[in-house]
Amino acid sequence: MDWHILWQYRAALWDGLVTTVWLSALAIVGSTAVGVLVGCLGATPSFYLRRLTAAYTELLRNLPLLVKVFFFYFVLSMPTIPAALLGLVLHQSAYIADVTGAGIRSVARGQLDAGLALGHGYWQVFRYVILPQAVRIVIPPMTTQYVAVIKNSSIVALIAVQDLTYQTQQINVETFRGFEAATAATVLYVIVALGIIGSMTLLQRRVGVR
Amino acid sequence: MGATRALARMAMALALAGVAMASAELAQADQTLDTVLKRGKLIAGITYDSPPSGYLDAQGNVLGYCADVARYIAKRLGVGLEFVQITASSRVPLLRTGRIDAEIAITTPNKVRNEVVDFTFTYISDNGVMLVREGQSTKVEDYVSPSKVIGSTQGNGFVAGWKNLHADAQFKLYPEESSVVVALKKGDVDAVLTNEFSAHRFAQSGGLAYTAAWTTSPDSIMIRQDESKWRNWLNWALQRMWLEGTLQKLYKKWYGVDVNFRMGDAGEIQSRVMEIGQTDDPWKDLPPGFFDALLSDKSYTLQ
Repeated sequence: MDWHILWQYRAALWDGLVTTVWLSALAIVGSTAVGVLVGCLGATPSFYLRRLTAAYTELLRNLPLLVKVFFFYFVLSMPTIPAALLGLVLHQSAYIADVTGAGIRSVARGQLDAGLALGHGYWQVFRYVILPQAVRIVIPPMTTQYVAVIKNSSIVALIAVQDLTYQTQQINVETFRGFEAATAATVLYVIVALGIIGSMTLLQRRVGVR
Repeated sequence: MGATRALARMAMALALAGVAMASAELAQADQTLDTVLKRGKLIAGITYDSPPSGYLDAQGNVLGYCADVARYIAKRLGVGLEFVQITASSRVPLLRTGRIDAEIAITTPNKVRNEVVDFTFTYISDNGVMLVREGQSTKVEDYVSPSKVIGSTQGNGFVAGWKNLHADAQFKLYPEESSVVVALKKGDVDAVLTNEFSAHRFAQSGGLAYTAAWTTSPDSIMIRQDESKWRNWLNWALQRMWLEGTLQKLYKKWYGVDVNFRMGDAGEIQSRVMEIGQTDDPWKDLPPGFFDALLSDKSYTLQ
């Protein structure tokens, strides 16, 4: 074992880490926006919206992420970063839509009826009664989704995005120090994931989930 | 604090993984030759996607120059042969954990790699060329510019060579050669660093052309470190193949050109290399018809 090799390649590792972090951050923001919207639409009384969102979720959840990324990059000929980002956003948004829908459905149906009986509109009840409760319910499973984004982002190395996986592969093939490179990747991915878990724990405390 | 505990747990897991990896590496050095003979089988790491060096046909037969060299070596050792597929990133872990006895492929030695593994004499010499789209310039100097995006595979020895000559070059590296070629075709990279053998094959498939050679790169058989008996034997075998003329014929058969390098240390064959030693030098006579079969198109039936 020669750990010095990691110090020699510190600039490459840092660049890779930065790329992984900002790509994951954008993918988390994008997939949350799309996923929550789809999840909310899926919880509406409209039959067509429910069917449409179910189709979206099923289609994107059942396609491997690699297939999506390759499709955008090689078939649709998109540039590297947009192809990678779109793949990550669409992939995770399907799961987040599912989590959001489950969160909304777990708020007792009686609360909606009570709100409607008091003369509020559907969207009013949704916004002020259902959503605040659903948010608390979905934070823990959402944490899992965000960690999944970070791990899944390693796929983009396959289309030459120079993320953490790409850089550690590069150390491996240039120096043949595969164990050291894999260890560096493990530690750095775990640190990023722990960062996400920590932030989500703080968020949970703020919104009063225990 | 949860995070501290999680970190402590992670450190423990990594430490355990380190111990596991260290013990996975072969405990006793200089055992490979004996191991192969005792096992009665040579386990050769080989590429499955690099024609004409090592590749699979539609029926799953392992073909190529490297595969035939492995067949010859196994027969001379008097043992069976098993192929294990290797890739640029899996070759060293497979070797270091003893899952293969030797990597018989297209790996270029360099000093940093040599700190981790050992190499035999050169047995292939690749010309480094640039694969480009048809209609683009086929002059190498037109791609010497930081504005040009140079594509290749991760682990390709030509990348380091190009970087040495042109420090400001811009690279885009993919894990698979097929991905690089698609990237070239769709214009994501301007030129691809590869060897002439591959470039020739891709150019034949249409829409692509390639430049003249800008470098040559020697390839060797790769083995574990501290394996002098095994490395000696492989070096003797390569030199004997050379003296017999078998290596040159295989080279011509697969690459379509005459060998463009000389075998041995500084291009010299060791004197008395054909004398078979009493110990650590197994050298079986080849069965009748073996040479003809090896040089034929059906050498894969020799397994």
